[in-house]
Amino acid sequence: MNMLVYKKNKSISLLLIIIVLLACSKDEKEYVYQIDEVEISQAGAEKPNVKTSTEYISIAYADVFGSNVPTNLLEDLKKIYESFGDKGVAEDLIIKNFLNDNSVQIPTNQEMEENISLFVTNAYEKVFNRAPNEAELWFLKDCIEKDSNVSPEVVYYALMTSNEYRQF
Amino acid sequence: MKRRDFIKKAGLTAAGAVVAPYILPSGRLFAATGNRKVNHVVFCMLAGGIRNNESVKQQEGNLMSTMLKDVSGGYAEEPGFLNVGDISANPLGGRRLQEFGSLLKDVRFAEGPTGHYNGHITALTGRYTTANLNLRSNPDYPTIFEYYRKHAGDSAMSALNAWWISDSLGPYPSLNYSSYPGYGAGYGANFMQPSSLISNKGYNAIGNSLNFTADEKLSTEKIRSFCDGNFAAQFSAESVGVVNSITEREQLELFLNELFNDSISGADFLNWGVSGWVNSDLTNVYYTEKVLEKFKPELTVLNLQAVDICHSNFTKYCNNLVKADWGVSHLWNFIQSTPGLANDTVMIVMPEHGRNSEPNTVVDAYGRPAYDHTSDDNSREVFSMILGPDNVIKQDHEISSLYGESIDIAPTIANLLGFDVDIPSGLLPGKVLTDVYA
Repeated sequence: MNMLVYKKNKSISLLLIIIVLLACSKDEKEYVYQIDEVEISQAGAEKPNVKTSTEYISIAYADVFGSNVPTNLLEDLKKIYESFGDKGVAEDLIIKNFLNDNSVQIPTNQEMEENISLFVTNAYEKVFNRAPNEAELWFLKDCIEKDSNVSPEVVYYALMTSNEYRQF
Repeated sequence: MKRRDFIKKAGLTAAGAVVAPYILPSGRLFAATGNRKVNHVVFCMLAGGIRNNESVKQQEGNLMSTMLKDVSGGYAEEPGFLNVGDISANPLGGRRLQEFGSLLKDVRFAEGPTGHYNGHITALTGRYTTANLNLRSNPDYPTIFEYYRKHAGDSAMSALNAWWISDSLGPYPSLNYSSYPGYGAGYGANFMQPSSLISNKGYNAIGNSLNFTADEKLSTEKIRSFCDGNFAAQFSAESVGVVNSITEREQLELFLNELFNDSISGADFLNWGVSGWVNSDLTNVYYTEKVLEKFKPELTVLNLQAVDICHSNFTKYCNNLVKADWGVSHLWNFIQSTPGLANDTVMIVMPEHGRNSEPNTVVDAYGRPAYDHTSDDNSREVFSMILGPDNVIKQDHEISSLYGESIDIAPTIANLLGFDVDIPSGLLPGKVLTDVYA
């Protein structure tokens, strides 16, 4: 009798274990993780050529004043540009001189504050001839929003004396 | 620790200290190994093509009467020549420049075409060149500036210590560094062509610039650094020429503003003589003195070329030689009057080449024929003067026999500044002009 009861209980236990195990099992869904295709490019890519002094001055003048540089002024500026060995110093002074002119055509402080994203995008397109990427847009916006010293002149001066501006 | 282990480890440490390169504060691994004789060298290229006939041989009288002792009765006021009363007084008082050093009366520009550009390249690189004039190319071999900045020691790292000051543009801006592998713009000299830069047009172009506050400057640097970081992989560093640090660039901008202010308030060279006395050579001397005063560079090279008018006007050539002579003596006097440079500077003077013995077909208003420089033997004859402290350079010393070549100036400068032994062998074929050493 006892032997029969033991076997019966054992069978029931086994059955319960099987039922529990079956209850715990579930069909695993297969998940496939993917990313959307994104075109990746380095900021300022595809500008392998160095601007000549004529190109640098002509483009800078057009970017700041919105018109072609007069021939006489171009010749004068070329001479100045060639008269100093450190081109960075020459460019720095030429750009700062441009930006100190009353007829300069860059956005005002108020225009910048009204729409900082648009200001940054326009500045990049004008100076670097390309749109800013997300990181650049964020960085410049952050600078403008948090640093009261950042004026349109500061932004344009910084971009126009950067290394990317020397090349095309 | 056992005694044997201690000795072994101590020995290894000592060996490491000897073998490991010493990193100087400037980031250089090694300082120059030679001994400096002086801390400053000024090389004045009395260029434009000067014949020994009119300089040391004094065939037209002594046209260089502040530099050279008279060998032919002194200055002769011939028709068309400057009136004695219009020549400014000798900056050295009653002395002649050659008394302050050694005069080499017969030096050779031995090889290559006797052209201005070739002559300048030869003097600055210490190598003769047969390269054709290419207006926008740097020399093939390293210039003395690059040897200096690469090998002369930690203080040489700053480009403010090396200056090339030219009297004209054309190909000359390209002479502050070479295209030689391992050298180049990174070791180049600061270059300035003052007469174009410090002018009305120069002021209009760069003299009225926007002034940023210190905080605004920090903001511009932050933005520019970010941009440069994004573009670093593509940036062609050689494109900006010689590079100064941000701090040095600020010093340079300040210096240029000072020069503009000096010009606006009436540059002192206006007081150097009668109206018309100051020509392009003397202007270049003036601004060289400004560079020397401001930065006290260890290596400065300037040129004077107004005598090149000899192609068409021999009389003006002679008059410009009088002015160049005065300018060189004024420069030496300025050096000896400037603390930090006085008694610690060697000045070398040498034309880049001579001129022909036979004239061309042009005759000036006074009937004097003009002379070109087309590589005849006469155009290869030059002189040199090496001036310096009496414990370094023989004083009032003359070498009349053939001694020295144009290619010897670069190794002599390297030796004076103590880095000649650090220059890789084979690059400088010339010799150090030791016969002038005290």
